[in-house]
Amino acid sequence: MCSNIIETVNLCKKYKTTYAVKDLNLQVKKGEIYGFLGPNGSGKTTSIKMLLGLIKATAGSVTLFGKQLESDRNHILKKVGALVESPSYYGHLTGYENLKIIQRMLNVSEKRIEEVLNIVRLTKAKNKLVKQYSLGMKQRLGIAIALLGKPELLILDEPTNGLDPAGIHEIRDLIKSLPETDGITILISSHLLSEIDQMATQVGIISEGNLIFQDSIEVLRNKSDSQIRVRVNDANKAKIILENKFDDSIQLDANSNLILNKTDDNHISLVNNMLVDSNLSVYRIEEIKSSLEDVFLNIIKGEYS
Amino acid sequence: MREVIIGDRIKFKRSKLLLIASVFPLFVFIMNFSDFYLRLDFNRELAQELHTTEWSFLVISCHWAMFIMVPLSITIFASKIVNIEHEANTWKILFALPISKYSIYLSKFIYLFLLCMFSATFIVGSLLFIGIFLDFNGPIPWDLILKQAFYPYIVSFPLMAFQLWVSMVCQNQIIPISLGIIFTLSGFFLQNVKWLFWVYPIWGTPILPSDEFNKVIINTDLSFFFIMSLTVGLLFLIGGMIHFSKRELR
Repeated sequence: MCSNIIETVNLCKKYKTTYAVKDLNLQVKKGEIYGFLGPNGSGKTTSIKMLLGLIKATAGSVTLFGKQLESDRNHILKKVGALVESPSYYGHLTGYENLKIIQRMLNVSEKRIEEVLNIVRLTKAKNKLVKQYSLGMKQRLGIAIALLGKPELLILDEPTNGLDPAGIHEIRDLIKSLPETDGITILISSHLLSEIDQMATQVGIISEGNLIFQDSIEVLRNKSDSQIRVRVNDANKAKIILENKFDDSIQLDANSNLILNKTDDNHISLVNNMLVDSNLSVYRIEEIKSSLEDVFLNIIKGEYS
Repeated sequence: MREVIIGDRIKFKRSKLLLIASVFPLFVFIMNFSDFYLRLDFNRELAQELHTTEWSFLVISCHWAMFIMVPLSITIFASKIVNIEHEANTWKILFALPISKYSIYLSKFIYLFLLCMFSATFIVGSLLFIGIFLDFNGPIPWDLILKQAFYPYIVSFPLMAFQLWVSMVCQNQIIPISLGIIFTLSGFFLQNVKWLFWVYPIWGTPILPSDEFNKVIINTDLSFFFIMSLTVGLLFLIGGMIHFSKRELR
């Protein structure tokens, strides 16, 4: 028995001659919030559609809850709630009626409608026609629809796409609150790392159809190691002094600042003393930390070059 | 299956489906009522020429409006029912639910069929109203009226299945609607090519005037058209269902 809720093996989708997704090996464990990241057009939505059986894989397999998607589709989909791409809804019906349709089709109790309306805070707007909803409300309705069947796995494809910062924040809070209450597993895709940074526990990064990173978000954070930048009046002289002393090559950046890779306090104080003792003027000592966003961009860039 | 049918029922709220299903038979009613009301004597003469009753002549004359109206209305009904999903972009939600795609398809067909039956019932009422209002001679020929109202729809089973299929798989509803109009217009000219499924509505009538226009004859080809309708209709329904369920979402 494997503990992976989602497991894909060498999943491929080929359109004519190009691969939209190639050899995708996703592994999502129970209870995780898995951030599925990638630039636009990298194959996120294609992958998600294959997970749900909306499109057929050219090669490879999808296993959800330890069962093959192809052979056990209906059984698996009972435990899955999904929001795929742009919101879809019956605009001529109210929010409540939209939920009612899905509730009847899933054959769950009618009480569940009020419950999900409450979770996504649409109770007040439930009797308004959905075409009058704001984009944020429509997106929340989409999440409500996904939650109706009390899913064990929630798949959200770019739920924050096109929303304003307040809307993004609201959706983020909503998603963060879910696993605690229901113990569900969530896969959420986005093209912005910052969006899922604060909620994801695992991260998968896809670029041009290839999964180029998959690990916990801590591992990704550790890639964002910091450096110390030192500004002195004579950078070249300082460089020679430090290199002789520490037997370590020291880089200069474009503005003739020294870049030190060792960042512990003792080392920095030592460096400072030496520079001062050599009659150099130390103007500035500062830490530079690359953001997760930089790490993300570097990973993607590394894949292109 | 039941869940899907109930779910679909909710979608038709505020969609004016019944209003649309009334417009087509209303058109048949207005054409015939005005004709019989304004030129009752002339129509009586024609009935005498055919050696038949006023009721029978009304049935014959009604068929002329129906074989144009029936294929057109099937086209519009199918498109209207299916376009709710296209417009709302909800196929992906439905396909990700633990329900079979066959039941999604079949439910749409059931509603298309029900709308047709609704229209046929409307025709029954129209014929009765015209005959009673204009005080036609003789007892009401229930048998003839019911047959005339329902037969054109029953022989249109293949057309229903075909139009539903095209509407389901085409995002752009101009395609099924154009096809339906082409079928309607060409059916009139191709009516003797009896294996073309879209000419069946023309032959779905209990009685016909003879070629010499001197008597009314029973439509003896009906059983052929019923069998053809059932066979071709089932073929399109099952074929369309399988094709639809195998299709990928864009």
